[in-house]
Amino acid sequence: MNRTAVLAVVLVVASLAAVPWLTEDRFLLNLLILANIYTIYVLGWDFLGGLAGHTSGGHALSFGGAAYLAGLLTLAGCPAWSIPALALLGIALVGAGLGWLFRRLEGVYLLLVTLAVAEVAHELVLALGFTTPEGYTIGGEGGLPVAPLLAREAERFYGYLFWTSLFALALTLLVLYWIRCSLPGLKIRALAQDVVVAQTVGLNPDRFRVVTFAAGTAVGGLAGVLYAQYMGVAAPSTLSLELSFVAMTVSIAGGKGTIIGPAVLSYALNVLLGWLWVTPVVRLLLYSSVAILAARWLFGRGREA
Amino acid sequence: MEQELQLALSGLLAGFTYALVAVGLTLVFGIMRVVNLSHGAFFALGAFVTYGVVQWGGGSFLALPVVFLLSLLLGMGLERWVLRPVRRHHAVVAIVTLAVAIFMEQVFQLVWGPDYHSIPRELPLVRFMGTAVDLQQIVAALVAVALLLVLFGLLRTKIGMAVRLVAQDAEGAALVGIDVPRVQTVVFGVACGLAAVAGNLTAFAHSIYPAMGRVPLVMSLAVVIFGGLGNVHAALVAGLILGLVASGVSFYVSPEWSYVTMLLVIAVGLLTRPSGLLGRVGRRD
Amino acid sequence: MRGRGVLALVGLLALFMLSGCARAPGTGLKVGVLVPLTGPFASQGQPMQQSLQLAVEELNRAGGVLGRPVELVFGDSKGTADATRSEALRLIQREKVKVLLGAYLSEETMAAAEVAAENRVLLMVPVAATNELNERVASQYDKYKYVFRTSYNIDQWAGLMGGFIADAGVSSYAFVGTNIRWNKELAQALRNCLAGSGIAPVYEEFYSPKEPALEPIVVALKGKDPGVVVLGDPGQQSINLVKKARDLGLNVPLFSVGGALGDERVARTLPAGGPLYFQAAAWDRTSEEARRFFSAYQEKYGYHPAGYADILSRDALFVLAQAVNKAGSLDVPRLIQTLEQGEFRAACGVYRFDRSHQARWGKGEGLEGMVVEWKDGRGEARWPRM
Repeated sequence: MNRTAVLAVVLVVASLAAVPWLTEDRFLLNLLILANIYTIYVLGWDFLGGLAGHTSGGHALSFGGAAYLAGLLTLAGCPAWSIPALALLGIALVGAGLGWLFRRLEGVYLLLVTLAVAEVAHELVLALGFTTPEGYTIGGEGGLPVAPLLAREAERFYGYLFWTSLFALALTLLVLYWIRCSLPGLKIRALAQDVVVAQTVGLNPDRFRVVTFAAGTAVGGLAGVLYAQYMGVAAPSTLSLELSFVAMTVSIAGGKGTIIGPAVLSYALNVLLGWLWVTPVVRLLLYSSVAILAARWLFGRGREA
Repeated sequence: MEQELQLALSGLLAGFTYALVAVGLTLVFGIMRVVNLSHGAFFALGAFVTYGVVQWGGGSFLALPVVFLLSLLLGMGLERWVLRPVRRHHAVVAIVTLAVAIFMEQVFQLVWGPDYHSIPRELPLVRFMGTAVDLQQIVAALVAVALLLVLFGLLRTKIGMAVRLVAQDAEGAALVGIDVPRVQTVVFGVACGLAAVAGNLTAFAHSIYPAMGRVPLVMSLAVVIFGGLGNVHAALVAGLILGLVASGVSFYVSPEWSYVTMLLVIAVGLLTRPSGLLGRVGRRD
Repeated sequence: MRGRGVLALVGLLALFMLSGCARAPGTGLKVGVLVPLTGPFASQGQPMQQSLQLAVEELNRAGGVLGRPVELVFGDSKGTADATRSEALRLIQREKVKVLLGAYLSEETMAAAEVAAENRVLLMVPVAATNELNERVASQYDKYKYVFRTSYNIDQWAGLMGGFIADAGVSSYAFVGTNIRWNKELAQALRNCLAGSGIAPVYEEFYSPKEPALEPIVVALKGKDPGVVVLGDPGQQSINLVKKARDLGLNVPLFSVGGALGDERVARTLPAGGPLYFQAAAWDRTSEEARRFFSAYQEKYGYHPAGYADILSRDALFVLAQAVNKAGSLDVPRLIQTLEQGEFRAACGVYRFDRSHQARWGKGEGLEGMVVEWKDGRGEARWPRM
C-alpha cells in the first residue's frame, strides 16, 4: 500500500470538496461532477479488466444499464429514494449473471461477447418505447426520465450532486485500492496471472469470476446511477460502443489494475478536454494518434500490460 | 415462389461480400491471434477511394486495383509500425485498432465531408424468369469468389504452406527458417486489401459515409465467429449462410431485428462453440 | 515509471489542447449554437453550421441586431446529452452567449432545454421533432418558457405529408422507416391524418438503422402494390432503399421525409424509375428570401441543400433577430412575450408560435413546407400547387 498515494488522494478530495463553497460557476461544477462520474466508471473497468484481468468490451452496459434500470423503476412508479439502491442492486445482479454465463471465456473472446451483449442492449433501448399514463411516448432515442432525489430547481442541486459524486468517487477509490493491496486483491491478481496455479492453492475461479464481475459492474453502475440522477434522464448514448472503449483505453493508459493511475488520468482528461475547446475533428485526430503512440510507448517491445 | 427466389438470390449475393470481408478478419486472427477492429474502416476506405475515382471520371472497376494496392500498403504499414509492438496484449490491440478506425473515419470526414455520398451503378439489371438479376451485383459476387479461390489456391502453394505453418505454430515456423514477422505483415496487408475490395464492389449499392464500416465490422465478426476464428474456408460458407439468415430474418420475422440477430450469433457462438459451428481447431489463446 | 508516463501523456494532451484555446473577443450579440460536429450525426450538424454561417453574414449585412453585429459561437453536442449539457454551460458561462440555438437529436435538445431553463436563457430549436419538448413547455410553463421550436413537430410533419398524399388521389400507401421512436410516431400520426380521407396503409414496416438486408422489404412492398411509399428514414438507409426499390422494379411513387434524399448530389446517382418526392421546409419557390438563401448556399458550398436542417437553422436565427429588434432589448421576459405574441417573416414563411411555443406549420398557417420532386437531377417544387 502506497501511503503517499492514499494521502495524496485524501488531500485532493478534501480540497475539491471545498469547491462548491468557493464558486457558483456551474460550468466548472458540471465539469467536475461529470469528471467524478466518469472516473468512477473507469475504475469499474480497471477493477474488472485491469486487476482481475477480465477484458470487457461492453463496460457501457454497467453504466447505461444502471441508468436505464433507474428509468424503468421511475416508470414503474417506485419511490424516488429507493431507485438508486434498487438500480445498483439490479445491475450488480446482471453483472454477476454475466460473469457466471461467460465464465469459460477469456481474452479476446470475452471482449467480443461482452461487446455484443452491450450492443444488443443499445439496439433494444433505441427500439423500445413506452406509453405513459398521460398518453405520450417516451423511450427510444429520447431516453427515459429518471426521478431525482433532489429537485433540479433546488438551490443546492449542483452542490449536492457534486458532493455525492465526489464522496462516491473517494469511497470507490479507497475501497478498490484497499482491495488491490490486500489479500482478496492478491487472490484476484493471482487468478488473473495464472488460473491453473491459483487453483492449486485452492482458489475457485468461477466464484471469483462471478464476484469480480458483480463488483466491477456495480462500480460502473454506481456511475450510471449518479449520471441518471444528475442528467435526469437515461439516454441511449450511455450504452454506446465509444463509451465502452473509453473505459478500456483510459484504464490501460493509466496503468491497468493500479486503480490510482487510471483515476488520475481519467480525471485529468475529463477536466482538460471539457475546459478547453479544440476544433472537433482535430480533437478526434489527436485523441486517436495519442492513443496509438501511447500504446506503442507504454507496451511496445515486450513490456507487460 | 418468385419472392423466395428473389430473397435467396439477394441473400446469397450479399453473403459473398460478407465472406470477402470476413475472410481477411479470420485470416489475421489465424496468423496473429488479433482481432482487427479497424477492418471495417478499410471496407469504408475501399468505398471512398472508389467514390473518388468515380468523381475523377474513372469507373468503379478501374478503381479496384487502386483500392487493393492502397489498402495493402496501408495495412502492411499499420501492422509493422502500430500493431506489431503491442501484439501480445489483446486489450491494447483492441484499443489501438479502434483508434486507427476513428482516425480513418476522421480523415474521411475531413477529405469528403460528413454527408452521405452515392455513386450510380454501371451495369444494368436484367429480368430473368420473373426475377430481377442485378448484373453488377453478380459481377461483384464473381469477383469476390474469384479472389477467394485465388486465396485458397495460394494457401496450397509453398508460400501458402508457410502461412499455414505460422498460423498453426509460429515458434515452430520460425525454427524452420520462415520469416514470421514478414509473413504476418503481408497477410495483414492482404486482409485489409480484401476488405477494401469488398467496399469497392458494393459501393454502388449503398450510401457512402465516414462511419459506414461499423456495421460490416460487426457482420464480419459474426461470420468469423460462426465459421470459427481462424478457419478461412469456413468463413466463405458462414458468410453465405449468414447472408441468407439476414435476408430471412428480415423478411419472415422483422427487419428491426436482423442486426440484433447478428449480434446474438456472435454472443451465442462464443458461448457455445468458440471454435465455430464448422471449426475443428480447439480454442487457443 | 508508469506514473511518469501518465503525467507525460497528460502534459502532451494539455499542450495540444491549449493550441485551440485562444479566442478573439467580439463586440456583437453572441448566439451559442449546439450542433453535432463529430459523432454519428455529424452529417446533419454540418449543413446546420454552414447555413448559420451564411445566415449570420446576411444578417450582419442587413444591420445585425439592435445595431450590433451578431456573432455565432459553436459548441459540439457530439450526439450525447451530457456533451450538450457541458457545451451549453460552456457557451453560457464562459462565452457569455445571450441566446442558445440547437440542437439536433432529441436527447441533445432535451438536455439543452434543461440548461436553458436553469440559466433562464432563450433556446431556439430549429430541428428535433420530439413531442416531449412542447409537452414540457405546456405542462411546466414557468420552467420551460425559454424554449421555442421553429421546425415542424411530428403531428405537423404528418399533416404536411398527408396533405400531399390526399391531394395525389391515391387510395392506399405504405410506410417504411427506421425503428426509432419518432419514426414510429410519425407513422401513427400519418395514419391518423389520412384516416379522414379514407386512405389506409397497406404495409407498415420498420428496420434497424444498422439493418443489413433491405431487399426483403422491397419484395414485400411489391407484393402489396401501394399507391405511394412513404420513406420515414432521413438517414443513409433511405438511399439504399431507393436504389433497391428501383432495381427490383418497384416503380410506385416514393415520398421521403427529407434528409439524405434531399441532397441533390445523391439524387443524381439514383436509378431511374417512378417519381421520387421529398418533404422540405421550403424550396426556391417558397419566397424570395428562400431563393436567395439557396442560391448563396449553392454558390458558397457547391450544392443545393436539402431544405430542412439548413434553411430551418437560418430561419431560427432570423426569427430570433427580428424578435430582439422588435422587443428593443435582450431582456428575456420581454423577448418571450414578443415571440409569443408576434409574427415573424422569414424564408419558410410567417412564423407564429402557439401556447406550447411550437411554430404553427400547416395548411393556411403561414408555414406550409414544400414537397419537391427530383426530375433529371434537379429539384422541382410540386406541392402546395402554385
